Amino acid sequence: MTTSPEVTKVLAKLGCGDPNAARELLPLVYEELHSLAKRYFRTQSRDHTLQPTALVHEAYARLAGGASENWKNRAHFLAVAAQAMRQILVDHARKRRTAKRGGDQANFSLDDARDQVHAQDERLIALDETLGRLGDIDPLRKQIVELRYFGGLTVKEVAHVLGVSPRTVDSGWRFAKAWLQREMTKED
Amino acid sequence: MHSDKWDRIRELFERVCDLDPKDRRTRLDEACDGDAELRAEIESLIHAHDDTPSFFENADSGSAAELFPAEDTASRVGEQVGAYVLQRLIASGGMGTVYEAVRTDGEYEKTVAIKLINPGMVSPDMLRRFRIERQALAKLDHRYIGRLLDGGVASDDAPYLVMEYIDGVPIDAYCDAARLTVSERLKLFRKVCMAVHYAHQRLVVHRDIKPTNILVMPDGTPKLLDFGIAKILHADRAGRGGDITSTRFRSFTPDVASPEQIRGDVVTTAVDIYSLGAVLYTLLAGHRPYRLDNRTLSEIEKIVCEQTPPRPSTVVVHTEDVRGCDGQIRITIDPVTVSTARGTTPQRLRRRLRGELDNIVMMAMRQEPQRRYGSAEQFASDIDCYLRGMPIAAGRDTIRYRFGKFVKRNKVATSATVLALLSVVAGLISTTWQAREARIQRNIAQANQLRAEKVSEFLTDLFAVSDPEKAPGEMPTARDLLDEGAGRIDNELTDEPITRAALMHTMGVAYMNLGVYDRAETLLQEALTIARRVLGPVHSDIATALSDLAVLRTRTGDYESAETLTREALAMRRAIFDEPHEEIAQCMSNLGKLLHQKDKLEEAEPFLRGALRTQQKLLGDDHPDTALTRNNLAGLLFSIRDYDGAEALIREALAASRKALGDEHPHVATLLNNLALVLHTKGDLDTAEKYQHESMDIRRRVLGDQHPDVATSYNNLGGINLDRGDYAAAEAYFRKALSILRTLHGDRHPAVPRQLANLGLVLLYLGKYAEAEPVLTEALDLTSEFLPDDHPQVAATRALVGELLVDTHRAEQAEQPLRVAMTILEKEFPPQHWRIAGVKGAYGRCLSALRRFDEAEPLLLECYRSTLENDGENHPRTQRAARAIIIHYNDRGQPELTAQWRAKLGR
Repeated sequence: MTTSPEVTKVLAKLGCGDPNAARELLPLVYEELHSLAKRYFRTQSRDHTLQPTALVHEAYARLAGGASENWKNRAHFLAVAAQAMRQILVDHARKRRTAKRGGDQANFSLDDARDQVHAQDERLIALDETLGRLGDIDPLRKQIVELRYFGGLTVKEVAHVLGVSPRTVDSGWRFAKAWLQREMTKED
Repeated sequence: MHSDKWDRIRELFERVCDLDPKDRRTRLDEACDGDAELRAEIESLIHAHDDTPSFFENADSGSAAELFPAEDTASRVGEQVGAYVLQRLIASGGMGTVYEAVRTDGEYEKTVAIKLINPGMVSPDMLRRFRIERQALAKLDHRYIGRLLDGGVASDDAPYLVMEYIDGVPIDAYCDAARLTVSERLKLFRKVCMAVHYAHQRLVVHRDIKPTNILVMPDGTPKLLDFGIAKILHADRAGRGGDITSTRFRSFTPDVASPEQIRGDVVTTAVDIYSLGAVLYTLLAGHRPYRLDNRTLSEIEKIVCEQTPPRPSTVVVHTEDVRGCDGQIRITIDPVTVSTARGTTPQRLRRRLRGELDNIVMMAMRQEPQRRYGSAEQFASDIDCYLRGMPIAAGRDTIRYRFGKFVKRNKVATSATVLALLSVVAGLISTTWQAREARIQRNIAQANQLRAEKVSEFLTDLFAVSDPEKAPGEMPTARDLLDEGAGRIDNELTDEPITRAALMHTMGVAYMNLGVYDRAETLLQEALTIARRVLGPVHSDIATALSDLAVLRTRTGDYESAETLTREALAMRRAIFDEPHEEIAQCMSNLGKLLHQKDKLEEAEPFLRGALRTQQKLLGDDHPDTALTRNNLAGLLFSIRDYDGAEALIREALAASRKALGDEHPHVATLLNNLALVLHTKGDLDTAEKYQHESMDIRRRVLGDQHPDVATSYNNLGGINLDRGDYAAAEAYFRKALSILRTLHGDRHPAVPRQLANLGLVLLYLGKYAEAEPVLTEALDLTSEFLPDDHPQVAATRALVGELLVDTHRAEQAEQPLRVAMTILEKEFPPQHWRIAGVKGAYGRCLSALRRFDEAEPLLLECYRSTLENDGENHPRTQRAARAIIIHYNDRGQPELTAQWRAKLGR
């Protein structure tokens, strides 16, 4: 069974602006997302790739499903889930990279799909590192990217979570994307 | 950290980003004013920004593309659209083309479907609609709806939509290829209805529901595609008459389009109901409702708007050639092909569809939108009722007509019998015994199909006896019919144990619903034994039998065995089905209710909440099962004195049940009863009585006079009158309840001594001591038989006996039992509870009568204080407590205090 009542309680606290609540929620969400992701990774074929935002929403449905139709709670939840998702994706990519280099796994022929997975992993790791640097310079814009990209939040939801105007989110998103794109291609 | 320079870069980027290249240069020249570093920074960012499709495209759907000359639409494979590359043409039509596409940024190698509108079709008006609609559609997030992922305007100025790629086949082809039976088709179709309902609630009408828009994935999950796309492509004709596209092209497929769509009238959610009906028509009958091939639009309009399609059961025996545009025969639909694809024979299929299924389809496809199902959910719920063997909404008139004479001749009481009878019969034909999961092997499903038909044949025979036309004058009751059936089952179908078990099970449930528990027990037991012998240890039918037997045991008061059976059923269902699953939820709900009845409140709650969560998710808020669990949860809240919470849950459940089941239904009566109970406890006696009467009236009409639920209503009406101080009325109600319970259960049932205790109490209050004594003595004897001596119910009854002894001047005999009762009750209830106050008052009166005044006085005063607090000054219980104090002071020889309390009482 899921830990729903607990999540609901924490969500309520989040709704009241309790800053510790997010910290309480993160491990719960991480665990749920991780098990979901593991299942997806395992069954993943070339046709059915992992869609992180879909996972995040599924995690929400599973953990808080039915408990609350409150979109503000939902936004808060997704914000935390976005952080967790980023961590999971990057961890996974790193692990796969290590596995590849370690050469300790069964020997399959290296087909296109594997190369593509490899490229994705590298890109994700690069994004994570670049996003970290953006966070040092401009935490707000880093958060916008995290929420939009890893959490699948809408502009309005991001604006609510961060307490800024939708316009700020919109322009911040555009700017951050351009900056990340430039920084990442620079390193190539 | 943030620096001024960083902010400046951001601002400048923001300002020049949207400008065209020339203006950008001018603006940058001005702003940078020779600062080459700043300028290089901005330029590189702008470059990165323009270098789309970027990494992030999936979340950013609003970016506009630059203008390019339009290209030939026929050969766009390999072309880039937004962040995607078109890979394969899926379908092409007048309005647009659908491609399989893949993201090019390589981030998630995700296959999507892209619908490209043909550039020639694009009008400014369409672009505007496109933008508005896209937002509404993007919000549709339902597991049976293909998700809209993205959208934009392609390089040739044509809008495109990016959708979840569904690897599936159209629902009709899927059903035929998988040879789904009628029940399996209905279950699949029901999911589609729920998806449509979800969209309707969000004010999105599909407008073009047809088999090719409902794909079924290999795992059997249906996905509804192209929601609301028709609206983007075509405005309402009624809404915007001047729009060329809307008059040139109408967004419907003639085979499934409603009359109002074909006429070009205002489009409402009812058009989707009609189209759903047309889809169901084809799924069940294998034919299309109308033959519209090679007809002109005006001919189509005439046919669809003026003719009613033949009932599905009648077309299954027809042969139809479907011709292509060239007049050549493409396929031939014949009875054998159709029935084989449904795992049956033409005759059996015809019988299966005839009646209720015909009615359901025809109701959805009625000419007048307002006479169709009010919502897709109602449509789904009627299918659900059919599958569960409950009475359906569609075509009720016809059934009433058939039994018209019967009803007319026998007035109110028998029309209730007819209703009960109908639900019994519907229950017998039902699929309760059938395999509930598609993954159970096909041949089993076929065997089930055969069984269901055997069952219905058996019943048709029974009905022949009861047909008003055939046996004029003597109308059998539901009970007669059941007795007849139960008698026959012993000699018939002996070589078909499963069918026999199915019938016994259904009849057992029917007897249970009629309150005839001994016969129900025999039949359900036998059904379970046969099922175990034939089906092996683990089977969904066995779980159902266990669960229903548990319900019966709950009703007969055997909670121990009920719990064991329910847990066994739950474990079996958990082994068979994957969670979340509605049957698991149903078991959890039953178990929660049972644990609550056994006073294991903390254990009960997680089962109830878990069941509710699952049911809300899988069945929706308005489903009868969800309502039932809400009710059970309300009962739990009631027990922990959260009356407002309980009331709210019951009212929700009541509204949902009325909607789903109609006003005349035992569930509705139960909810009214429970609502009355909550209001009674909250002190609103008048409203409580009103609801309780409503409940009792329904029960007597639907269940007949001799039913335990009617006894409950009488008892609760008695309780309301007791609290109002109308003891005579209370006595009458209690006696009626008792008489029913004794008739039904004999004495050996926990409900009987409870009822005796209530009657004894009111007799005490009335001062009818001679009558009260045998009643209370019997109550105590019987209660002690069922429950241990230290059980609060035994103690409470013992307290009443003690009170009687005090009232009849036998205080010395009362002292010991009252003391014992008080000790036990004080352990079970909080100090301010009315039972504690009651027993303290009685003990106080006892001690006062024994002239132990010093011990008596605090007890009497405490009794008065908490009764006053609980019930208010004018409550009969409060006044009774005050009277006891007056007598006490009088006996003690304290005239001043006596007078003082008398004055208090007088006021």
